[in-house]
Amino acid sequence: MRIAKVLGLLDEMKGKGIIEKYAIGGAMACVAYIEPFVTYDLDVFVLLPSQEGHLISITPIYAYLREKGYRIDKEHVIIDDVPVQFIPAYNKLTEEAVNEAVEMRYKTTKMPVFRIEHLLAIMIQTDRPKDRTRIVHVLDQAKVDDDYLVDILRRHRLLRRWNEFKRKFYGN
Amino acid sequence: MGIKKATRKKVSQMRTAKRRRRRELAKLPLDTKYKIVSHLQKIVEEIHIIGKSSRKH
Repeated sequence: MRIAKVLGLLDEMKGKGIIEKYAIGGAMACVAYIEPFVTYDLDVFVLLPSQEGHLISITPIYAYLREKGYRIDKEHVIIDDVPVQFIPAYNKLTEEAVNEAVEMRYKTTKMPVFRIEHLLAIMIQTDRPKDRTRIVHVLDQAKVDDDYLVDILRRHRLLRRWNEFKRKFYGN
Repeated sequence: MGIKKATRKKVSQMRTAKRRRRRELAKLPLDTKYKIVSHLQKIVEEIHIIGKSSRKH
């Protein structure tokens, strides 16, 4: 998996003002904190420069990459065999996750990755079966700052859902 | 008929060892982890190929 090339391109787009900020989220971000598992695409959450109107468009990202010769397959851009999906931060929680992402080292490059507490909050918000399974793995293997997590959950009105989840899976 | 105490102990020890191995894997550097993800992807692809060919017979 050639992530370094993707990171280089992301920084290039940031430099050109096509994206304002980015961070890795989704399953690949989870892999940064827990044991590796099978996943296929790289989710890149982006903050875009302010645009006219209410609709957010990611067309400039795809146009730039298409111009550079990268293939677009449905919602993914294939960069050196890595399917990359660009997701504009779609609510306050994901915006915060991008802004507060931590820098991790990938070989010699630095890579902004969502904090584990944000990943947990997003998973509890999305609440698909795979998210629930993943939450269990994260709680078992990763070091989580409980106070920080509760603060995020409270601010984004997810604490009740979280407590329900904990009751259901752990009985407390 | 219950499970023998020794068997229960052994199962518990195996689970603890498995959890310890998982936590060790979680501490690997990011590039190593992504290399493992790539390998896992290849293995899954091979499994699909084997499954497909065995259905033909």
